[in-house]
Amino acid sequence: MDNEIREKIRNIFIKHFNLSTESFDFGKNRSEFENWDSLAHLQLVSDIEDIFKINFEMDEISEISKPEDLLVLVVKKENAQF
Amino acid sequence: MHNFDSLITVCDFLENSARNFSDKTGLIFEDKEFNYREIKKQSDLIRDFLIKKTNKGDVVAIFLPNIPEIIFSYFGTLSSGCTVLLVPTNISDKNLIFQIKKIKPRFIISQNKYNGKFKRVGISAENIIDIDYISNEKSVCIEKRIVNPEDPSTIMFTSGTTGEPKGVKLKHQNVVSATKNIIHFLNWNSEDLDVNILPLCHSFGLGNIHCAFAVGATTILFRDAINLKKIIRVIVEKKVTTFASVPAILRLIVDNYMSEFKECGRFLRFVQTNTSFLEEELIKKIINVLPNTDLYYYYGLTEASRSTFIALNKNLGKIKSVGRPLDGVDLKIIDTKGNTLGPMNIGRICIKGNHVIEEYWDNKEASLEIKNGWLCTGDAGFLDKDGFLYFFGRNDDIINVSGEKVMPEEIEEIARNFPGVKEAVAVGVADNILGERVKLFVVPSNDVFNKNLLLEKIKKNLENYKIPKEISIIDKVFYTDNGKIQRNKVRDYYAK
Repeated sequence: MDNEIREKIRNIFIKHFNLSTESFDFGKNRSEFENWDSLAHLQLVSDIEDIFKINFEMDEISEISKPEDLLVLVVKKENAQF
Repeated sequence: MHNFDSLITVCDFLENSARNFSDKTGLIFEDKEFNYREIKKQSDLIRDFLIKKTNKGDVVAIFLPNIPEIIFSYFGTLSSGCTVLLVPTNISDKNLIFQIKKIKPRFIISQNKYNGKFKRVGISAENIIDIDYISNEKSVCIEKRIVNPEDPSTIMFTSGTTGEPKGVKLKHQNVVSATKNIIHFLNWNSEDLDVNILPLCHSFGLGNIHCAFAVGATTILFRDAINLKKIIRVIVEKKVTTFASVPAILRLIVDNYMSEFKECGRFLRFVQTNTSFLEEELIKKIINVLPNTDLYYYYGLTEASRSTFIALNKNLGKIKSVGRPLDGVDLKIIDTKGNTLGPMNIGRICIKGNHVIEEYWDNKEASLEIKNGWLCTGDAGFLDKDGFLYFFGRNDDIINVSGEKVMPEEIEEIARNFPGVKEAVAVGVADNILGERVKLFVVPSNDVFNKNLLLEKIKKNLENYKIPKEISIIDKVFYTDNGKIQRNKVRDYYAK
């Protein structure tokens, strides 16, 4: 399941930030993205909440600084549902 | 008391503070601190580089996020006698192409990480200068350029909720006038410590840099407004005195960090926010959480920065107002024929003052909206008998139901707070009898959403003429690059 989540999140990022597949990296910091600003952050989190049918706490949203952080959070929440 | 007489051009904001407060910290960003002498030195490197490579009056675009270098580049470009085009880094490719074609800047000061975007839109690499490259160029330029108050200082494009974006051409004297007005009203002073989380490519965020630099205050700059907990922690730890935010972020803070925000009230002199829809409940919550802090709300446009102000906590009877005009600012409300309307009559808001632009960049049609110094905005509102302005929304967005004016935000706010609603957009659609009627578009967040229950909720809260005659479920909403809803686009798209 983790691989499936990973792939979904990768695709969300690629679509959301208009990236090429090869330029995406889960370890890339927020500041290295072209346009990851406050608005993009909230839209991204909202999309991920809708797709995975989960909810993030405000503290969790604040602490996301790279795709990896989101992946870890989603995996944790998905696993908790089973 | 600060000497306002010495502020003639925007360059003077930094010049004066570098002279009067040279060792004082002017800017803090993450773990770096810069005193005013260092800020001036960094800015001078950019100035010298540009003097060698440009002619006076050339436009230089700055395409940088909220990092210290955007400030160095801004002041450096201005003191080189060039005009700054501030471009938001979250701009769409389409709008970037539009702005670059329209303005034709001599250079774009940016960072390597944006090269992919520039390549994608066909901007030639020879026009792009990496900020790190300039900062490392140590050559000195002996030529100096005189900058005059009537020289253009900055171009910023309005987001264009309707039509194509307009290039707002601010002169040095417009910016200086607006800055003096704001400093005077908010009593900005050199003891102030400001947290700036707003994008500096927009008028609100940049305006706070102008004020802080003009009086020799200190700015703590944040890259963005994502980590709210950290922002609040910094306000308390550093004993920050001034803070500005858009209503949406204030709402998130109040809803999620109420007790932490209360702590901020020990130090904050004021909180400023702007003319996005600010619901009464949120105003009351903020006043309640920060009883000793002034809550300032303003009305302004890029074309006429912060024209009115109100301290909401001191004017509880005028809580729905956006305040009175600042010194040197005139306001009037006109009807569709251009006649001036009396108090309590809704019409188009017009603004006059030294802070108002004289024309748009290469846009004769839009410049016709500025006549005899009066800027006729696209906003609707009215003045009460005490001269307080009430902002009603974009003129184009106002829904006219048989003569009754309906502000879409009022309906959208109720819908957005309803279970199962992710986004809501209210628009006016043609009606044979009423002229227009309200239609509400809803993007549901889950299966819980119930159209009839939402309608019942709206009926309980709003007047009859504001109740949507139709609620349509849609899958997406259109926004401008600045995150403003494009209501007309939503209406037209889903009409097909």
